Amino acid sequence: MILHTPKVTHEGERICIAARFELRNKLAYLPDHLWYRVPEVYEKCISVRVDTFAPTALLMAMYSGEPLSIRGPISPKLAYGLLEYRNIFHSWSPKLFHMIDVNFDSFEPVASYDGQTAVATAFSGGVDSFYTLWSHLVQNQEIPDARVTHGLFIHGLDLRLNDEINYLKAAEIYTDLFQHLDLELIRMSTNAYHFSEFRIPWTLFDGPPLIGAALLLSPFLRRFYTPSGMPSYNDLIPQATSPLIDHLLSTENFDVIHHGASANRIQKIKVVSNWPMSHHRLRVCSDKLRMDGVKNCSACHKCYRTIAVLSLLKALPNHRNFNGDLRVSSYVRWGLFTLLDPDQVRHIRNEAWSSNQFGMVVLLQIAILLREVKRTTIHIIKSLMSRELVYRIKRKIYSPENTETEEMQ
Amino acid sequence: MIIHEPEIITDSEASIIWSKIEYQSHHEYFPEYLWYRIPTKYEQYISPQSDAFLVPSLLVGMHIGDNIEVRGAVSPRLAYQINEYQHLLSTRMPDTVRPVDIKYLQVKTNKVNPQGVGVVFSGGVDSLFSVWKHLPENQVLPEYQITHALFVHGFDIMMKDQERYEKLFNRYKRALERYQIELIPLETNIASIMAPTMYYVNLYGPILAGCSLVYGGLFKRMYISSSRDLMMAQVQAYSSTPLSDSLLSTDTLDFIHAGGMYQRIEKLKEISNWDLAHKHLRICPYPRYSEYGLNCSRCEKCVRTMLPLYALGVLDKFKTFAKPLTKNRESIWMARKFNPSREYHRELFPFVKEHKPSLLPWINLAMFLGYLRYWFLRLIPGLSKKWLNRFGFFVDPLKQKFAMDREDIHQLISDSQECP
Repeated sequence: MILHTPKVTHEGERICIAARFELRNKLAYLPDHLWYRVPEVYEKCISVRVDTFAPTALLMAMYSGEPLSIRGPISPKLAYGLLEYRNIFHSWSPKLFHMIDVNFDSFEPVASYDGQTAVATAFSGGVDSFYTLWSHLVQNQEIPDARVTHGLFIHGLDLRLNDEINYLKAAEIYTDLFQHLDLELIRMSTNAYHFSEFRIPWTLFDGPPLIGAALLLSPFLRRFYTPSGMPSYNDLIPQATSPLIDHLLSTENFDVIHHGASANRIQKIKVVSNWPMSHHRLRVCSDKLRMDGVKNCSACHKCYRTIAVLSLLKALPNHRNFNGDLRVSSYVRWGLFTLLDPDQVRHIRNEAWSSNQFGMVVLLQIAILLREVKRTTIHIIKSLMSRELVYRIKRKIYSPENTETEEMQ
Repeated sequence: MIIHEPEIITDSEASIIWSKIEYQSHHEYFPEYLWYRIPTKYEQYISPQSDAFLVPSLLVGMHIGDNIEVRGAVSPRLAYQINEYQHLLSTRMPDTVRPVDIKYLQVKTNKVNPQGVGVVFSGGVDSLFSVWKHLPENQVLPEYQITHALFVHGFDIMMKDQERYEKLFNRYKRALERYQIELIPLETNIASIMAPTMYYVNLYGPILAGCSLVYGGLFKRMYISSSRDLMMAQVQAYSSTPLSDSLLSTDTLDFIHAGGMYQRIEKLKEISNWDLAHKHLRICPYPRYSEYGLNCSRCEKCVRTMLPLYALGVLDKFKTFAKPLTKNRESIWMARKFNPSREYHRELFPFVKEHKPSLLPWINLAMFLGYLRYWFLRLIPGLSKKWLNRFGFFVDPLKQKFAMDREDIHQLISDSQECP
């Protein structure tokens, strides 16, 4: 696979920077270009280096099993980090991410810019984002260099490109929030999800495009926080944003810091629910059809687990963007029809036990059991099919966001 | 715990940068001063910051529960990341350490522009592998090729073994010069703050980081060689992992945990055809030294290193083993000091099965006997072990006073304080 040098185009009030991914053996429906769009006001803040695209290109090349050639100069620090990044992804999932050679055209350290003073955090409105933002406000962060000045809210990652209404509604609310905190929220968009859709689990792919967005603004940013979704340092499950790998995508003058792995989700929700700025703004929903801006569907696994913790903390009244407490049928649905994470539910169950909420303990255990039954059944069915067949079936069942035409060689 | 601002004493041969440490909790073995002794030639590279004293002291503070006050300057990046470092270690080792509060009187960057790329070097498998991987023929990025290696007296070589340290230093200096790598000496007592109360074999990360930080004017990048691969690091808790080492970086020095994706056996295979490793591999922890027999060949570490080399058929090229294995049945020596808690034996089976299957029955037998011996020793009551101390058994040499320290340097520092 060849990663070509990026090109910049002006699209009205936005700037588009795109790089071509040239695969030797084309994959069906895979886009030719990875692109990012930023408002024109940031024109002087963007980098036209290949650094932005290299991490995502690496994962795609590993997926396709083709050696990667990177055209144009790359940061030596990033190049060194990418090789370790490759080794780690391969060790996590050797069948999904093949060991490949990476060839670099040339190396050029990233120059330091006078205006490189901003510190940004990725922000989606979820528990992890709010916790990282809260931790780096002036009142909570004693080291001035570490305080957040900007947030990146990216359309095309967890909020998909075909869901513009929800993105705009949420963006408006969060822009106001950042203004209120005397900070700035930067809106961007990308088509990165189209590369992973139905192929690579999103949690094993989302890190490179997210950090790539920050690399794009690295002439302006000197530090970027990736809010941690890790349950604990004791459970370092393979995830594309992880304390193990995020810093590997730093460059000479731009640091990537994975933040918040030291606190589990319940601890984070405790902190966030005590911060009035998060009230009625917490957006955790993963159901793009039922969410409405920052109003959560209250029926997906992410909503369920957040409602359960808020209910334990008696903080639900401060979050009117959820539809009240869980019912018995919610627990059955949670186990059978959503992506319940058993480790996280066990944490909540233990918390419920210590809060003497024994009814909730039983219901959570039932949800875990139902999930195990469902998982085993699906695993047996999938083991009888090829990877490409699973992909095509998923395209039939779910409505794909990526509507590129099929091109097979 | 108060870490006072560092001071420097210089004489004709060396400079000593030291810091006074005041403890809230008393322990008879804790040193009053932490110091690093650096030859005058390298004096210009000494960092005046407190970073090199904070990092090793932190673990002790976390162990005994002393909050820390740092009077000297600390790098903003280190000050920010050290809280995450504390959380990481306390999550992984909750019975050994817990987070403490750190108060900084000065948070500022060391105004230097270092250019060196270093590795902490001991001559063992891990450090040789790190050097090998960062030679120009294996590392295309010039910025990442190693220019210096740091050889520490007071880490795996005790203070009383001065002659041994000097001989080894001269030997490695000559060997590395061929690869345009400059070997740099350093003497320090920072291990003595950990050794009395903690099992510092698992907690060596901050010691190596401290030794690197004191050369803040020289190193922009430092490799800390991994001693366990990523999978082992997830099962067992250590202070030096791919997660932890980078958190000790400062604004001018990046720590890179090198080789964490490789098993020890893979590293051995990679360096098994390198002539520098053939002539200079030193893995034995027992302080015997003769010009060629660097390794006793009978301790647990020697045997576990020899076995894969023997299975590969290259052991005869390695000239530093006093009694190398020559027959399959000699692998039974493994039983003598076998320690299953180190986990290294797990990678040995598939490797031997692939490269020398005829060795497998002997290894199985050695391991069976080794387990028996290991559990027999574990079951000896504590009182009996204490009684056996008088005959030299179950004695930890690291726990002896001044095992990792020098009384004369303490005296020198005390005298310098008394003189106006």
